[in-house]
Amino acid sequence: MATKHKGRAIGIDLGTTYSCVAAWEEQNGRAEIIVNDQGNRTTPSFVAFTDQRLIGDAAKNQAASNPSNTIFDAKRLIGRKYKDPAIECDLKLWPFKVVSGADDKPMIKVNYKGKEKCLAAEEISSMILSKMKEIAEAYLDFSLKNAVITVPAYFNDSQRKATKDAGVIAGLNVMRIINEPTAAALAYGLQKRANCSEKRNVFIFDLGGGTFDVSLVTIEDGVFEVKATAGDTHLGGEDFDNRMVRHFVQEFKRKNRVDISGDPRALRRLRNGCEKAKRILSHANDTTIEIDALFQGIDFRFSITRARFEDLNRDLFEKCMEISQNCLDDAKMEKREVHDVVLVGGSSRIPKVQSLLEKFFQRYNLCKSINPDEAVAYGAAIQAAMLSESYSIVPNMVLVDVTPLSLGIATHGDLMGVVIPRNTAIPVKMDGVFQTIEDHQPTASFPVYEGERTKAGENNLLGLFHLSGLPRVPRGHPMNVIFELDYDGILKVCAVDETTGNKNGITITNEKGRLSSAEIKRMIEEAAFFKEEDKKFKKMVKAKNALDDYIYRMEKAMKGFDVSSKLSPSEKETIMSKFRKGKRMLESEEHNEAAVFENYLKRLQKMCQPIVINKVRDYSDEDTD
Amino acid sequence: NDKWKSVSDIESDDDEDSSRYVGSSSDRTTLGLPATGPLKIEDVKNAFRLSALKWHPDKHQGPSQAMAEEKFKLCVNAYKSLCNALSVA
Repeated sequence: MATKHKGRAIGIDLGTTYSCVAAWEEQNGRAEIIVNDQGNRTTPSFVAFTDQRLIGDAAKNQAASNPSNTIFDAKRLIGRKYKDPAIECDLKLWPFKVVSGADDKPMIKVNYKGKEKCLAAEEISSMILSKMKEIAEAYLDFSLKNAVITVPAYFNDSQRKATKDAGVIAGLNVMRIINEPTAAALAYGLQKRANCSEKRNVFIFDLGGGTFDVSLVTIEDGVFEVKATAGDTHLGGEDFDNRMVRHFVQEFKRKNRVDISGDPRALRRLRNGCEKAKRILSHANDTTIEIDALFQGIDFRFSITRARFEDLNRDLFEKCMEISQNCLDDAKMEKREVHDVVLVGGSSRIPKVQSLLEKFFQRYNLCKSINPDEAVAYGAAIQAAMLSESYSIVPNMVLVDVTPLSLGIATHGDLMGVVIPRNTAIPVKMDGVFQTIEDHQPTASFPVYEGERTKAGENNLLGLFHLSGLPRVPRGHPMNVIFELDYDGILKVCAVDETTGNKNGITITNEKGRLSSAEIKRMIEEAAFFKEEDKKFKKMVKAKNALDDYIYRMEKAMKGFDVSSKLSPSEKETIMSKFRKGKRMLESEEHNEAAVFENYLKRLQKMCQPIVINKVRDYSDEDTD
Repeated sequence: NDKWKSVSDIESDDDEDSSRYVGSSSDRTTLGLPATGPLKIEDVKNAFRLSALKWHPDKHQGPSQAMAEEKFKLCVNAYKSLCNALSVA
């Protein structure tokens, strides 16, 4: 990673519910959001498995009819343990099956072509990433490798690394993992650069589908310095939807005395209705959700007011404000020193959130001039251009980001000894001095943790290493521990005994739960397998269509006078029976090989060739050859 | 299993209560500030920003990048300890 990256690059916002991709447009001096094959600027982060694999809009559209094989919310699982209390509640709500795999890693069970398959969250995310890559390649018309991927600022070490792994499985060269609010700040900085010469303190409020982040960024002379960041990796639009779904399940039970909570299809349809209603409530005061025959033929028809919606989520909204206050405290900044409050993420459109923020900052001019759905991808594309050598005209900006969580070592009595405090600019190298606690202690162990709790055991353990061969001296022998954090947030720790020069250390890369390089290799092969299957499926559909088309046109031609008059009734009957057989083949499910249909088409063409000398010019010949 | 003391604690012990002598001279020279004399938090911030523009690894390519990264890490350290020193003083 010593040099800039060759080739063009894209920025991908890999969201919990929706993803977005952008590329830098040199000639215009700005980034361009790339539309997908459906003409949408954001793509649902959904993957579905049937007799084929669907990603994006196609997967979300069929979610209600195939709930147990439609996977979403992979971002909530990535880099976490199965037992993580944060996902305990989600496990009950998800219609798909999640089981505990090796090292307590959550694995998603799906049924693909009648076979059961276990997939890691990284694999689901990699499928979404490869879809975003395809979208960009289709638009830019060349193949791509380099990408900047965004993660919530409050993602921890293992979540970041898992996201990076997902990129590798998708066949991308992940140039950098950057924080979502920081990316949004870049977008803001670029769009406002005309009046950005003097110092501006910008508060980024990013409330998305699944995560919540706030960052305080100071912009001056093209330097973007993140002062502090805070957030919750499990708070967003999905949680608001969940509250609504739970509310309506209760209401439905009270009114009709039936419980729909065990029916994944009904829940999915209700959830879709709730998501839509939530959006409507951002501009209307009340709305009605109508779903025909939701459960046991009973129609669902309930209205909800904006006030009721706000009431259901009051504590969640208030939590956002608390976290905002924490961020300001960390940055040691007063509310009035903030020049601009920038709204990012779809859920920042909720009027109650905006009014609480206005009250919080005592101002009524929140910045809504950047698109909340697209700002993150836009910023990621700017960063991608800055890291790639293929662009000559890029904004002259530098991003100085921070580490969101404190890093340190457990000391005597399970106390967290912080070496790199949170909100320290990265890359960084810092050291701390340790002392032995026993006389003649031969080895010392160094458990490395991340987190804010004073009790080290309650933080997230990243790794453990030992320093041996200590001299036989009384306790209090000093050892120097050096923490080195690079710009991707990859941590290297080493300890040195200055008196003997003994040295030992670890690079925190392969802690439990993370994919090993062999597993990544297997998943890359698996991804290739899925791609091959997708291709096969497409080929089969094409072959089927060609056969169907041929039979249809030949039948029509047979009815015509010219052809009929040339054939005896028995000849005609043989041909017609061949057509009927072809139709049966198309209708039955037993063939799923493209070759079967292609061969049959060839046989039909051969048989019909002498009859239709030049009467029917057959364009399907050109198509299938 | 080990007791330890952070480096920044040790450093802030050296500080006199007058802002005139705040910060170690090596930290100050790292950021391109005068080695002695009065120091304001705004000066430190400005100096860090200029250093970031100059030494952030994103601004460098090829063989100079590793060197820039090391340099930048020193700047972050100096910035952090000067800010700590100034907020104590």
